[in-house]
Amino acid sequence: MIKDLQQNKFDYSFLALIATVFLIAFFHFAYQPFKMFFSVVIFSVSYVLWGIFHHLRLKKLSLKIVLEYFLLALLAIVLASTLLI
Amino acid sequence: MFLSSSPYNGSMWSKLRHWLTPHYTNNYRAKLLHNLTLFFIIIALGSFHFLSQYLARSPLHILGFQSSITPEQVIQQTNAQRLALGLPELKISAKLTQAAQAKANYMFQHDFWAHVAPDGTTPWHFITQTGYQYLYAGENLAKGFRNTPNMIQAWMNSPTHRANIVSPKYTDIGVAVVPGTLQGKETVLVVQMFATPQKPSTSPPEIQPTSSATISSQSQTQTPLIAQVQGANYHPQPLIDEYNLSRFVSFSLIFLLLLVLVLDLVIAESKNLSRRVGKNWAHIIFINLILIALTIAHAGNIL
Repeated sequence: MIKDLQQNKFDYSFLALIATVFLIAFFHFAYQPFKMFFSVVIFSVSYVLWGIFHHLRLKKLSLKIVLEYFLLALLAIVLASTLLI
Repeated sequence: MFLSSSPYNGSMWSKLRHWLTPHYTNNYRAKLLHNLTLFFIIIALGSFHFLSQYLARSPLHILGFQSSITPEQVIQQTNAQRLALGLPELKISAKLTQAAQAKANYMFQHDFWAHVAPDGTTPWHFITQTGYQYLYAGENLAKGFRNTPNMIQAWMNSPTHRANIVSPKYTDIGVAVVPGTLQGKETVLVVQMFATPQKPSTSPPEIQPTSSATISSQSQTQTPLIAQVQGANYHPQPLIDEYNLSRFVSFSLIFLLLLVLVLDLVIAESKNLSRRVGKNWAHIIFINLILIALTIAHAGNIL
């Protein structure tokens, strides 16, 4: 895991940046459920794109992996819609 | 002789190992993390959401919106905020309370969530209707909150709402807490009106077109009026709060997923398994961030 982190510093820094932007946006839109939900959607889509980009760089991208990221993102969106809207 | 086609022997331990840890029976990836399983979890969660929404709208009232907010608490906690800043307490105005109730009922009847109604009716209309002649007036709105402290905190975090609560211009307050169905969703609407009465020989009223309104009139009654009223589409308190049930189901699912992702990661690393799957620990970070955000987020909307 540490080795993976060291080998892909750029990718993980980018993921950390996306996560930070998400948290700032989410709390900035406190008590505005639709905007909070929209932040979750943007973050989830960004996560799927990050996953594709990351595995593409590693030359290990497959449809199964894309689906895995997509389904996790979809799960996050469904959870957020259940609790926020 | 019958031979089971299942790759595991059916004991509880085998089943748990198959679903929660990487093993040859699940192609070295916890079954719970397989795409098809994730797909079914999403479908199940979506179905649960629709079912709970349906039950919330059914006349059975097993599931629905529960709130402990009372006008007394709203006024007491509003005054507590003022006292903390050395400001005088607001007096309860029967006419402002009446105006707040009228505004809340109007919102339910016309199904809108705004300070100014779609037909152009302003909050000040409800105040003047009661006979209250105001110099300054303001209105704070909230819906969907389960308890008073969270709602007051939400208002205090918003500069415009906070300005109404701690404005030295206001002397009177009226609050209505009205349960009902707004825009297709069961909720509790809170209307908080602030005002200062117009003195007998003062110039025409100065309206503060902020997101709050309060008023007190010269002929204001001395009898305080605090009332929790029923909206146009009033529903009694349900047995189970829909939001709390959704939170329980959602968070249980998130914790289970996190547990399985960690188990899968640790076992795969310890056994040096080579698999073509997504990055578990990136998934863990992603789900944790969603969990943190949804844990801290309070349901409720202010205007």
